[in-house]
Amino acid sequence: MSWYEEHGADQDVVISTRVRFARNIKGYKFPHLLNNTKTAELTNEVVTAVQRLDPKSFHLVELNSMNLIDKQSLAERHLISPQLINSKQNKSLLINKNEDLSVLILDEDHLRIQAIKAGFSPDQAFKQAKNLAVALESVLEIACDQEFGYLTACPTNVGTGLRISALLHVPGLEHLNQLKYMIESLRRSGFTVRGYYGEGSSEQGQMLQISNQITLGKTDQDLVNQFKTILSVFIKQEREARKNWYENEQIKLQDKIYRSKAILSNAYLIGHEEAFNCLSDIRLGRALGFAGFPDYTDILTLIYLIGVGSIQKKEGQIINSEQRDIARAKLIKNYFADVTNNKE
Amino acid sequence: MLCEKCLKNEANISVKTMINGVAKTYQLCSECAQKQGLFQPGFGFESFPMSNYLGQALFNFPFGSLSNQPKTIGTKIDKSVCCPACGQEFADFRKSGLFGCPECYSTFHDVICSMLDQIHGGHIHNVTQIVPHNIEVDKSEPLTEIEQLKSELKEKIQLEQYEEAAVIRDKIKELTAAENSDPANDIES
Repeated sequence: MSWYEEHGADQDVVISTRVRFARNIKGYKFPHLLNNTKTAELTNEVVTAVQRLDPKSFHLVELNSMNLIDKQSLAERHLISPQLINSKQNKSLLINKNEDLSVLILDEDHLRIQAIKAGFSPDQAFKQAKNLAVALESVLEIACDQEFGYLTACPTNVGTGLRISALLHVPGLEHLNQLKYMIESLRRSGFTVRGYYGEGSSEQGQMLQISNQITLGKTDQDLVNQFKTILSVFIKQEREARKNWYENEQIKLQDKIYRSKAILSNAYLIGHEEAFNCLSDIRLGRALGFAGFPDYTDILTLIYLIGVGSIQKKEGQIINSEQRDIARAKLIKNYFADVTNNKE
Repeated sequence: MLCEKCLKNEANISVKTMINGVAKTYQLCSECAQKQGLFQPGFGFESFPMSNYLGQALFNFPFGSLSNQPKTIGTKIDKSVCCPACGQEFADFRKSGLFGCPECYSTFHDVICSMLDQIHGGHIHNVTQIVPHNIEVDKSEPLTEIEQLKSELKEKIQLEQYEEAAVIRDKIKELTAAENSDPANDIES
């Protein structure tokens, strides 16, 4: 079972929580300066080290040997950043079976150790990623300085190398026009706010990513605790906003959500953006307790399946935009038909 | 609030200046801030709380010139210095936003201190971090072949695949017998 098919805390607002540690190996230049020989040498060193620690859990994926569709699909599941899809340098990913723990080799840093969990699970994600980061330190010579901490290619990651982020669903705050104020105050408190697909992406389907900005001067545990405090406030505010929306505009809200359900259940052609926004409404319907709405795990699975790369991966070939819209509509419609049949 | 320069976009950057002892604050959009040379895209500074910083000098090297830490005030760097380990100059970092190798942190130490003060509000790593306490570390040696086979055996039994389990059981017996008769084990023990 993949991590996104599991349940987590506060899933009505938080879609997923991610923790990653940036680490680099002594004696090598940072990835953007490595030549092919050194790239291969370093990749081999890391793969051997990980397999020595845990020979069974991880399998190796080399991005250069993958086609565009498969790479897009990985990015859509937040396992690699979209910027890596077209990279000429060979990047590799060591990933476990349920895809919740991975080591990305030669992204901006030599290693990006990442754990991802459903819902708001900062402690679990932190523990899992940290355990692997600490274990790797016992088999690899990690670049670490007494003054600056873990050394990274970009100075914004130095120190702990920790980035903790949560993907949030915030239709309530957006509807009440509160989102921009919340974002502003988060930024002032030292947090970064980005769109659904991370750096450089826009907010989509009322979903956004919040992460820590400061990585140096505090322990990683303190950074996680601070993140938890801020996020708890944010979650509470979003719930309040939804309650307020429902109390004041019940019919309009129901209409919006059931219209989206009707579109997803009946459309013959649907673009990614429209499907994404409709699924966002469905998710809100689920959170408000509307009868017959799919579970959070199913909604997230659908969000992953309808991506431009994932839909082509499912079809097994490169298809044009209209063909994708047809395949996407069919996939979603079948899912909703199955849910209805199962209920009956 | 609208940008005070173009009066079109939403202002998202607050710039404070001090000219001849007179302090002024401007609210700008990122586009205008960039045009004024106050902001370098691609550096990762886009989302920083700009109101914490003191205007135009911020992104113009040396980074530490306005830092409140006396140690790093007016930090300058010899432009001819390049990192002996990777050959990168500080100018390369300014172009890409990335250092060349871990040694760059020693080569450009002083200027990095100033820069980290600006980014993280300090440059000293919390040392409790280097030796983690509260995490259980699995320092055990990698599994031996017998141990691996034993765990496989357990899995097969759980899955009720008894024929395959029997093969593994025999293999374990064989290996255990061989190990017991190996004189090297006596020396180690």
